[in-house]
Amino acid sequence: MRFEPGFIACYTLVLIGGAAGLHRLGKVDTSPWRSRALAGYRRAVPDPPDPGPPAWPHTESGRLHTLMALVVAVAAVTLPLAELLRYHRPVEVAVLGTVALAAAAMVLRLTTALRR
Amino acid sequence: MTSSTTTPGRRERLIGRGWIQAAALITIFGFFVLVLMGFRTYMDSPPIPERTISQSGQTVYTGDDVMAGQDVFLKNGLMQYGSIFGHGAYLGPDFTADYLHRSAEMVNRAYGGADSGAATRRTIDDHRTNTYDEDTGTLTVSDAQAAAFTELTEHYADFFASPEGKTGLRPGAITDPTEIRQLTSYFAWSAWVATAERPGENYSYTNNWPPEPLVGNTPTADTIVWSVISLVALLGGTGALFAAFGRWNWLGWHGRDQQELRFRDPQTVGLTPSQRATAWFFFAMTALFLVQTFVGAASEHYRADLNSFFGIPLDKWLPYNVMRTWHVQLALLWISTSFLAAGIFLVPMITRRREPKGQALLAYLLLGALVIVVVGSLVGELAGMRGAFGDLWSVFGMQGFEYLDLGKLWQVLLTVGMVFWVVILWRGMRGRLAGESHANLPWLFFFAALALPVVYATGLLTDNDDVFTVTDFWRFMVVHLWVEDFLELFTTVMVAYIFVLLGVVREKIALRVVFLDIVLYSAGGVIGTAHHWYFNGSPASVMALGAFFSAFEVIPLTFLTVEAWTFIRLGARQESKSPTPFPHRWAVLFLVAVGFWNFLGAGIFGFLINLPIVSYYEMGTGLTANHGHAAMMGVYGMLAVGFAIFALRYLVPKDKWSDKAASISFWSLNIGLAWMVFVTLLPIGILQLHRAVDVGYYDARSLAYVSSDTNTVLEWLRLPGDVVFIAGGVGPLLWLAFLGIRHRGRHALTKAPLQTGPTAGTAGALVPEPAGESEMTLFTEIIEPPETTHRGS
Repeated sequence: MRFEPGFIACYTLVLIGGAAGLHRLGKVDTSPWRSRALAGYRRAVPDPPDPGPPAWPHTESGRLHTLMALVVAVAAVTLPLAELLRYHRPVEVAVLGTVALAAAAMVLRLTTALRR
Repeated sequence: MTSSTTTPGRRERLIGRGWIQAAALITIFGFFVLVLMGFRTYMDSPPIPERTISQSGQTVYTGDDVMAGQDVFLKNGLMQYGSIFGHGAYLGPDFTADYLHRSAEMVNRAYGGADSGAATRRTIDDHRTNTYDEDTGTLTVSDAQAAAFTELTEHYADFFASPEGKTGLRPGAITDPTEIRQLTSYFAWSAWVATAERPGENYSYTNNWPPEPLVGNTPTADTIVWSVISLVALLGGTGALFAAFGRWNWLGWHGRDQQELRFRDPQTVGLTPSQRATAWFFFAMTALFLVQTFVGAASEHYRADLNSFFGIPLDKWLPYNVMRTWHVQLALLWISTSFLAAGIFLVPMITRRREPKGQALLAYLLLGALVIVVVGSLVGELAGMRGAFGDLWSVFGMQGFEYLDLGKLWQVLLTVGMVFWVVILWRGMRGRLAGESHANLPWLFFFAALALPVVYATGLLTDNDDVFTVTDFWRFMVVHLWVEDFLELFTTVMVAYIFVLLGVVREKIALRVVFLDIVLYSAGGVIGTAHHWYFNGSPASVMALGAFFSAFEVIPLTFLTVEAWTFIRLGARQESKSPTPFPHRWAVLFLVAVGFWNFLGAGIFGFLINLPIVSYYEMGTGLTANHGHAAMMGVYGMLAVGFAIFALRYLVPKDKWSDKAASISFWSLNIGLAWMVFVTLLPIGILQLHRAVDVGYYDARSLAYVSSDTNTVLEWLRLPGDVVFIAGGVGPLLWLAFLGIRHRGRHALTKAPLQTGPTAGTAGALVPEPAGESEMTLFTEIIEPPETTHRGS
């Protein structure tokens, strides 16, 4: 396996991980009250403010993260496919094809999440 | 935490004395260290020998040749093609590394070739031994080095005078043999600076940069040790700040707020003439943005295909260095245009009084002046690179320092224009300022605005007659201190003030955010400017300070991103209470995008290349472009667009406004930028860094590597993202800005009399106001509860 397809395969895996992380980040409750950094303050003020239902733009945050994750995932499909046009030794086809499929699965998952 | 003093006739100070003292002390400390570094730079910058002779006594080049060579380099826009000491553009080679590698190979061959250990040792000795005699001003080089100089003069003559082009430069860009010789002298001097050991030290004037094994250039102990300390500073500083924040809740915005807000329908907010004039600013801004993306696409095309632009020989008329100059200059110009306009737009809302007569006229004059500077400087750069202005090239034409490319005249006019803008703000705010404590938001807004022309003016001290190291010090006053610190401060004040005017954040809290920003940036950002000077001929102490303090620069980025999100969340909580709809969803979403890109582009991608040991191999490669695009467009670009969307919401009538257009623009700009970064800039940058460490920096920066098949594929893959960015991102924005100049807030004139405000309790309704009322309509009506619970302050 030559260096360049190897690099792209690894980079694609990083992108897939990044996309998954971004999507996950979008689901995290960013309420400052629940932040671990505020543990000391919470102890001092035991009566927490009512966080209320998730409010805009918080509701948009998940969508923004998922959409950016989708862009990253589409990039993760594109790169190994472009490399496949240039490098087609069996091992390269196998590795690049596998990561491209993994990226495609991520695209599918994120598209579904975005539609929900 | 709260203390306040009241000066007779002034509103009381809303922030504790401790905040002011901390901000003042840390700012003074930051600038003291910056001045100290400037002093060291002047004292310890590398000398330019009066004459350089060979061992056999022949003159190789003179000091005048070197300075004339610097002029040739600058006026031909070569810093926007390749780089010197790693500073400049990334298509062409780094001329320091290029000369050094070629010369070292020739010297090595002259001594017996690469297989000979003796030749290797002699080559290293020739380059590292500092033979400069300060008393006579004479540098003596070996005969082999002198022969290499002659040979390389021919090489550069072939390269720059090539009639075929295909290098990104204009065919036959530089043909005068004298100029070629001077240019080669400049490169030769920079290569000498990069390898000759500083007196009393075992490393070169540039801390052994560039990496070049042929001459024994390897990372110094300082480069490695300060990289480690920088990492420790980052981790320790981040932990300490978050721990302290969790313990004390400085900003105090986690308490409950019981105000009732009623957002006014933009339709009912009457605008002043100067506010209506900003419609033209935002249109100009968007037009400049569009041109910037076009020239950016053209310069990107050179990286994908050096031969032609889809069959058109673009390099004959608009070579790469012209395209990149315009791309970089327009980025600053369109973003500045938005900031200037946003300042003018906000003033009447801050003062809530009638604006003085003639404000609109002054605003139009400012816009006219801006157009003259933009057109004049861009045309000057194009003509200057073709030798149009003779000896006045640096005045009217291409001054040539990357980011300060515009001629001195245009640079002066731009500074004067910003001063004029401050005068406009002063005229509008003077009455309000007279009644305010100097530590309250109106004064901070004015001070932050005043700092912009003052800091930009320091860039006027760049001088083509100075040694590069010294002039680079002043260049970064603009590139770093102005852009990364003072624009950031002005931005923070503006955003905080907009939130205050919208009623979603209390003034006290906004003030604390601004002061926190001043404290954090004065510590990290001001001294951190030195992270640009690791290898440009500044002493090792500057590198140490830069590495240590610039790590702290990342901390406020992380922290303020978290805080900005809380800020927006807080606003959202308030917003949800309003019975009237919030009109600024898309403007606020652009601010959310700013937070995202601030963390990714400025924080992560910035720190990725910040450690001296990484910068040693990385400087001037694709990872710098990766950071530059994600941070400049992601943070300032998104902000500038956000300000425009905010103001246009009032300038365009409700039935003409399109949330759809704003939405398409928002998503397209973010998707396009993410694609650009993840598909092209980041992988290309990582591959180039690997190449620089594995094969050599010289090779990684060569035209052959940059236009290799791998890079070409990755560059072409960027195309879809760029199309989305330009067509989907800038197109709808241009349409909204066009609607802005078409209507210019006239709708509000007919429904609510100008410069007056409704009485409390009538928000959101189209109620005619009594003429002559002194207070203006605000964006939001804030109804205070009988008793407010506000914890944590």
